[in-house]
Amino acid sequence: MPHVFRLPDIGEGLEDAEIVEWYVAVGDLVDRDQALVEVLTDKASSDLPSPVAGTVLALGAAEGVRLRVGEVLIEIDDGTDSKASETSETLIVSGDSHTIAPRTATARPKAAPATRRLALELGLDLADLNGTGPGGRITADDVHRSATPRPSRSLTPSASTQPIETEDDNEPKVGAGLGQLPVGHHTLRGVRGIVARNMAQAWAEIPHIHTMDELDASLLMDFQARIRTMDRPGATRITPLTIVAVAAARALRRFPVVNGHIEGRPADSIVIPDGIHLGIATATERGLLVPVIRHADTLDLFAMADQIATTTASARSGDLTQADLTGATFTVTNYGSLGGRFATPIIPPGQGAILGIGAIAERPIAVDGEVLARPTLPVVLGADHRLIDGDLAEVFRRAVVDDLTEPLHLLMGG
Amino acid sequence: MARPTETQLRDILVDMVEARAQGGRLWNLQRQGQVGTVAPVDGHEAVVAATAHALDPLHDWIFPQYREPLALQRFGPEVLEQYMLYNVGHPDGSRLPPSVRVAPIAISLATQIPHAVGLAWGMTLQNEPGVVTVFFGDGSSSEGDFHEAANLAGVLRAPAILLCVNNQWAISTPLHQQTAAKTLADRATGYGIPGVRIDGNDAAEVYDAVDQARQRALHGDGPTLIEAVVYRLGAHTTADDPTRYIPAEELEAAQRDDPITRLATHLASKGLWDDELRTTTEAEALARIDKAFERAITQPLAPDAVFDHCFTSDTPRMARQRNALLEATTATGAAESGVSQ
Repeated sequence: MPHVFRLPDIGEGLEDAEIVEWYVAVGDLVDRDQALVEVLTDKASSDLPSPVAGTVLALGAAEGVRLRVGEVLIEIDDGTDSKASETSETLIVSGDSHTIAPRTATARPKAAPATRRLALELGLDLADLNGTGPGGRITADDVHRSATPRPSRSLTPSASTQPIETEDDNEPKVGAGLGQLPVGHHTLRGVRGIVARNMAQAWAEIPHIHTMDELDASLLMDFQARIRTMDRPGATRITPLTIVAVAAARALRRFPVVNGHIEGRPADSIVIPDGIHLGIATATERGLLVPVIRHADTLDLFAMADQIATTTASARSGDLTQADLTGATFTVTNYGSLGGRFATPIIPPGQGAILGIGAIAERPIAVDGEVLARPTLPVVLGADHRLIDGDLAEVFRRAVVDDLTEPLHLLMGG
Repeated sequence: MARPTETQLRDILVDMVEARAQGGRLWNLQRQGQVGTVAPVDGHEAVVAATAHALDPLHDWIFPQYREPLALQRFGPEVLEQYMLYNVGHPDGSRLPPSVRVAPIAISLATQIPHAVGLAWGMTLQNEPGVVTVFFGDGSSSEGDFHEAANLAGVLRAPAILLCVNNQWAISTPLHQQTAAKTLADRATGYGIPGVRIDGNDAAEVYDAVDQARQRALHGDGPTLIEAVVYRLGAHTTADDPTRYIPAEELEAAQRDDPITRLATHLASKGLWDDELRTTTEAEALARIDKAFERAITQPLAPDAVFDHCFTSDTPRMARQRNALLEATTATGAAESGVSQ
């Protein structure tokens, strides 16, 4: 008999949820309590387990679609009556009356988010793996079995000794949907809602000061080009963002206050964390996410490049958990990846400062009394003036600028 | 001073493992839309189950908060049955048979503490043997009800055990924002009663502390405040996302001190526990909760049942509301079956 599982209210008073990922497809056998789907509500992302054992007859919505509470999520034949699966091809979802066809065979390989992440970390492409789980689902064991590590396509552009490239793995792609929204009122939700809340809090509570500089990036570009020739096989490409992140972590170790933040409402304490955890602002289809590189000051350039590539790729594919997105003590934002020169970035709540970098481009600068065209890197430090006075902001900014102007400093420890 | 025997410890572990297994199933039932909001017991199993085993179900009372019922089965199978009835939204779920000395769960924080102290005082007035144990959390210890009840219990020398399960988090509020006191047990001084602080993940230590408090109470020496330190190993409730505020490292550290792993390791070293026993224990626990759930969802539920347990008879306003509700449900023919949250 078909068992209709409608989207439940899994919080207290939720109205809808977004289908993030189906773990099952039409025709799959499922057990009771087996995870069927990951959904994202305004509160959290959750796996919904099957209420019955049986065969999947139809999925109520495609990935990316928002379902309202009470709409059909999935239909499962629980085997109690065999004559019953006529309505299985499509389901008409009430409300928008859009017809959702069952998932086609061309959908991306089935695997749990943790498995996707594992594959990503091991440099494996899920499309190349044979799933031995239910319905061809790729399991963690499948990933481990086929792990002769090799560079993943998405993460590792071939190491190259080509002339200087200033583009970045962290570069946001300008999607067709950017800036588009239909006429009307739209409820703030999901990542947009979270960004809105955080930014409002930061703007209301943190008195920002910004200090800006523009450094001669000649040696930086040279350093990057030369270190790329030393790339270990399979290692992720070093980008300007990698080098900036390492320089920031180094400066934060010298000035723990910049790594700290003000706490309490009203503010009543200064917190100096015992680790340096860098947030990397990342544009994704869902909106701005800031995955965290933990203990960033313990990473060398290569490890930093790997971690930034992995976490930002996971952020874009939606595989990060909330824990991967919290706990940053300082944020680096590459607003220049779309060409900007100067900006005034906002400090995320719970941090004391933010470092922004603009686009590297040839610009006229004065060198030894002459105006020359040289690549320059604009940098901006935003600081919480409750915690950081102008002198500290300047000294910190200069520490970063000095290391970027002569990146050999970064190889000298301390 | 009474350490539990190894056999008692094994019985306690069985209850803990059953509570954990049933809690997992209950979480899934909530995610399937079949029960209302649930507060998981994960991380609290030792303090709840060991307390139940240190008490006398025939004479002693337990006032739970809302997280404990799955680990209270020593007080009778009815605890699980009524808890499941509560979870599907049936008002009768909060009514336990008189032979079961467990009070209904209390959602409003700390309200159960004055009730417990009142009952304990009443028992002395009526010369009834027995003690009343009341569970509450670190968050509840900031509520006025706690202070008033603890003070009164001290004045009256009520045979009560005030068992504060300090799981470090009041939803998302960490303990250091909850109190400036060094420990919650310290507060006992202000009420003139003994306060002890114990490791709530150590079933034997819990048993011992509750037993001593019980002996004191039975000898007329009054109440004891016990602070049992544990760590909430999961969400506050099904409506909560703890990954937003609990540092991953902190949770991992707490998981290494999982009370079930700890006691299972000890008993396995004595040859009293193994994986097979755990598997059968879990299977039995799941069968039992499935049965209790089936029973709960097949229990008739009148649309106006929500009015049934407020007063002996309806006030005029309630009577009007009850009639309006009955008319509305008859008119639409939509006396919805199943879950009402």
